[in-house]
Amino acid sequence: MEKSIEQIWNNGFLRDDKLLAPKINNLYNKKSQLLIEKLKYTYTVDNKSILPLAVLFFAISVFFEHYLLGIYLIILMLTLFFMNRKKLSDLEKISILGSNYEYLLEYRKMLESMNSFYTKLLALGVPIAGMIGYYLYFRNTPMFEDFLLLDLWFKLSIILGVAILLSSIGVGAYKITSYIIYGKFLKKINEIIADMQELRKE
Amino acid sequence: MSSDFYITSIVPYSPIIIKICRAYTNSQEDYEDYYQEVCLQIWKSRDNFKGNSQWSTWIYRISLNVCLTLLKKNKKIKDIPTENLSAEKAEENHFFTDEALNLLYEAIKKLTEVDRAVILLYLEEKSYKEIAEITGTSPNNIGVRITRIKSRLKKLLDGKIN
Repeated sequence: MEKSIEQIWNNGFLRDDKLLAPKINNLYNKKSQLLIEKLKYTYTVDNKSILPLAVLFFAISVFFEHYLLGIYLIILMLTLFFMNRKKLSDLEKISILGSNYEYLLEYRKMLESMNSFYTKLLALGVPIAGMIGYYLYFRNTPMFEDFLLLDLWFKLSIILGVAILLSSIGVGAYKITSYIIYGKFLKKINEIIADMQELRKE
Repeated sequence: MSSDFYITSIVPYSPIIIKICRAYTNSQEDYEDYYQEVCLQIWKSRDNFKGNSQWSTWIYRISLNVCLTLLKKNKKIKDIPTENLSAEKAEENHFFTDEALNLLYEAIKKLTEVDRAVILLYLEEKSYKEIAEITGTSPNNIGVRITRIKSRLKKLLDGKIN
């Protein structure tokens, strides 16, 4: 006679030692690894997106016969690309061999230090790079000749004003894009660390 | 998670979690991940338990929610239908000592996600009202649904079990 599914279920579990709870070890292990893998992947894709942009800016500059500006822009963007790649390789060096908690703390520390590094770099680098770019674009134009004729203090005030504006735009744009692209990852890392801290407390 | 909480509030109910996690996973690795995630969510949501239902009902609800959420997440990564499992994967599904039970699990895994939940709760002798409450479905058609699921299971198991 064929067994009913209720019989199969009840008889099957009657003496099954497979119903013993598996050991819980290293909670968040896979979760942390997946999160970091996703973060690294996003960072790599984000960095690679600089390359087509560099080529595009170079092509536009060449099209408008600003060859020097084109070379300058491509060098600037490639420098940024390789710098980012170096930062990514630093992230790769963080070992997961220890506890997940230590791993995530280390990762968060590294991300915070990267954030601080890029904020400073953009605050200072964007105005300098921007000024050089403006010079390469406007040199030999009547507008630039007129600028040189201005009073020294007035010239310095304009340069300082543009530098501050560029710096604010650079840092602002970085903060906004970082929030959009990496905000969710940082939030998740912070949540997992908070959970782990609570788990360790109890 | 304190070992006290784990020992007193989770371990006695671990058969429930195991039975549910097994129905939604195809490998030992996934099963252990799901089990750990369920335990974690039970611990995280322990303060939300107001005692309006039994602790076991609460565990059923969390286990099913976690399994369905993880299943959805994993589906995005790799959409492998159960029917197309490789021989190696199928081997992993032979988890229980009782062969008939393994076959029943294989059949259950071929059901839709909600039907799996309904039949698991039915087999655990939950009332129609409780099944409806846990799965968030209407209690009116639970009986009809169970009859339909049972006949589908019977078809899937036809001739395989004596």
